[in-house]
Amino acid sequence: MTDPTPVVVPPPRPGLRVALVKPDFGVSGGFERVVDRVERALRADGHEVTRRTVDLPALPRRAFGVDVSEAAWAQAPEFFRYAAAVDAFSGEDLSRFDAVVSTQPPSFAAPHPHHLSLFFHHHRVFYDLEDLYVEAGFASDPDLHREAARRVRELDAPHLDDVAWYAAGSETVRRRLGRFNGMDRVSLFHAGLGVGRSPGDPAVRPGPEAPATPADAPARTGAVLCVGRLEFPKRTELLVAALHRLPGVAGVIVGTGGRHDWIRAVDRHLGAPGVDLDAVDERRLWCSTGLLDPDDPLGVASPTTGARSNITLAGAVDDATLSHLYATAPCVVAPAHDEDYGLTAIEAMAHGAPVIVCTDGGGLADLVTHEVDGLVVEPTGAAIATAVERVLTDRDLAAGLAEGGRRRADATTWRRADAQLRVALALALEHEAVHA
Amino acid sequence: MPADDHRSPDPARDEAARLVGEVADRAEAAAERTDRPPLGRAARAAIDDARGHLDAASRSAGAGTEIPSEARLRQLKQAALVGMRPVTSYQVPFNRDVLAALDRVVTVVEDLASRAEGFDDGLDNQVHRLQAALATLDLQVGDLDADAHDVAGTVDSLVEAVEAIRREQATHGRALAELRSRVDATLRATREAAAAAAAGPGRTTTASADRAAEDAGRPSVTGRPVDPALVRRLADGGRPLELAEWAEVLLPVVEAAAALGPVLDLESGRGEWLGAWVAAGLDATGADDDPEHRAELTDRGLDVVPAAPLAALVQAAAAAPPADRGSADATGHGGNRLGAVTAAVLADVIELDELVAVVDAAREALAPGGALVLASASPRGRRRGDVQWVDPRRRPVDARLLTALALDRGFAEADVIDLGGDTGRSGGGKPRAHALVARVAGGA
Repeated sequence: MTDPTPVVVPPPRPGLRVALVKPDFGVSGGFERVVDRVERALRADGHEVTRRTVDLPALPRRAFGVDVSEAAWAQAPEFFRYAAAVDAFSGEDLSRFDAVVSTQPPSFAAPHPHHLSLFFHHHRVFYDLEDLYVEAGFASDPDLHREAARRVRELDAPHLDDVAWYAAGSETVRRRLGRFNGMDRVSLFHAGLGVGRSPGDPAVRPGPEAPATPADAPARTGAVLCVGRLEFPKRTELLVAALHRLPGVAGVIVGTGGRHDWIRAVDRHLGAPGVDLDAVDERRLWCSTGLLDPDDPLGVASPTTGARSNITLAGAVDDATLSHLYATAPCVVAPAHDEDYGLTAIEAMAHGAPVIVCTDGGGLADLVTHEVDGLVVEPTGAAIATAVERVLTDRDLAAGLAEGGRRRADATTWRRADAQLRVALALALEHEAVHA
Repeated sequence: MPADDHRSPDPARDEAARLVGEVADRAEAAAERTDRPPLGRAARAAIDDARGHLDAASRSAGAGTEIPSEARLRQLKQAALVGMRPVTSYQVPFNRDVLAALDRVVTVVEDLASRAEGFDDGLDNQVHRLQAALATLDLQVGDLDADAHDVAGTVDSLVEAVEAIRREQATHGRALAELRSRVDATLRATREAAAAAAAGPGRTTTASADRAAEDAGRPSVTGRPVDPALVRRLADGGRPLELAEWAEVLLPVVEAAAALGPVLDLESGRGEWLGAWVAAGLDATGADDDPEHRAELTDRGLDVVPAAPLAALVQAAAAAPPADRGSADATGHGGNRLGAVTAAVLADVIELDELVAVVDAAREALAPGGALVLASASPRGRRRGDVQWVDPRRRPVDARLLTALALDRGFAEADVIDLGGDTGRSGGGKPRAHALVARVAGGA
């Protein structure tokens, strides 16, 4: 790969004082690695970077001068927590900095005339996931949730207007910014790999990435792999449904989350003797709260006997183990709905594993070209099972997809992401926010 | 879930709904406070100033028609004013009309200023879109460049792979040709051994000797094979001394073809043609399966391979990559393929099926535009006592047969060149001959 040197937008001069603004959710995941990498890239370009974080769990139950009672807070916790965070970020004094780079929402509310937002998503339950959130039953009061969603969008609007430039995490996110906010000051920022392809995890190290596949790569005799948080709407349930159609095929699901017990119960439910997989309402499996309810009409929580399973819930694994699973998986399935980006797919491609995603996978579907560097199928267990079977039985197809995937992954480097970041920062410096 | 009018009262829910609204309203108000006025600072100040003046003026619109209540001598002034009413009564409506007109002007100016701001914003938006597109394009150019490098790398790899396959194929082809030669030799030796065993000790035979007897109209009535050494001696006797002269006639043709690749001279014999080609500076190699002939040629410093005509041609074709067939490279050179295949004594001393095989093999071995040159005794010289007919293998081959055969087997052009010789009916004189010059398609 050659260095994608910008030819139109000159990079910003070195020596800028940059505030990297981020909410602290009290967890450390893939996005935190991305932010770490961004900080290193900014420093490598000669800028002085200061982290400014807002500890969200520590915020009081108070927003814009309004004290919210515990009982009222419990009725719409997502709204009040979010409003309190917007209040906190919008009150930040960042005037001493030359530029601000914000990260997760609502850090875009931090005021600064030269504000670059690394925008990976809105607060999705109030935007693109509003309907699914209600359909799944997460909103105890759907009317209140919809009203809160309307209010959040109003609340966000002026702050989003104030951002000088956006670097969207994917085409999907760029489309959402246009759809919800009419935003056109948007370029792209495709993060590189989260899981290193060589010892030492180059994902957080500057410099060229390691080759995708070492010469002594193990054979792809492992289990069909799925990596991601066990949360709504990752739709891990669809992979479970697919693998029960392929009882001779082993599957491993890596990740933790609030739906762990639910997914295990779904696995038992679908593995019970006599279950007609064609008659299962798969949408109800994944579009639900994931809480085990004995009165659940699907009967997922009901006791079963004689259930068979070909699926291992591996929980959290370290990078070395995950790399090994990627490197030995005959294919990686990413069934999530409307993902912001799809880092899992890129990581799988980098490890030479054919990727299977769904047509409504958002950023995942953006990354994969059907039958070129992966398979894009309908979001059903049957369709995913057929795709897995194709990859397992058609060696030429699998080899072709693996090769295509490697090429795609090779193009998604941190070096390229650094160039995208430079361009976006230069544009943010060139623009002065409307409300400055 | 639709709203349920009969839902039991839920104070916490109601409070939450109220607080959601209150928080949002306050947030909106806070955002508005930081809002910039819709107009530029200078424009806003001017508009505000104009409105201030209008407000002040409106308060004095009735000036000249009223006396303030606290004024001194108010009664007297009032009386004087009344006296002037015919004049001042027009002033107040005039003042108010002017103020109203100015107010409208200010409103229009403000609207125009706002529109101008809006136009700027619209322009900004266009610029934003353009910049976003450029930023994306910028990186896409880099991506395309990288893709192009990847494709170029892949093409290079493919070219290398194809070259490796060609080399491997050539190796296999050579091995196959050698194998065929060995098989041919073995079969020939077996046939001869079998014939010798049938004829008794001290005698050998060959198919050509039998054929020579048949051609001479004298079937092997003895049932015993003819001694091949005798056949060879007779063939040598029938080898015309004029072969070198014929080479001079044919040299321009062979020289032109040699520009496309090396020359292979089949059944080189005493090397009359091979020597002529080499003397002319051409890259020429001979082929002969007679060890005595090869030894003689080698002693003269000529390059000769031990192979019968067909084996030599198969070997040459196998050594050249398949892609070269029918296409010259950029220099017009036919790669490893032959520029010319020549044979002074071949076309009319072998069986027709072998001749067909030789013509086919030559076509495969020749570079595009390459030439096959086969000399043949003119049948008309047979009755005249032409020395060539001493060769017992010789068969009358009409010139038209040669051209028809070459065109039938895929050559693009076929001509016959008269090599001269005496035409009289009396015996002796120079032998009469002609040569087929056939070219494969392509070339310059």
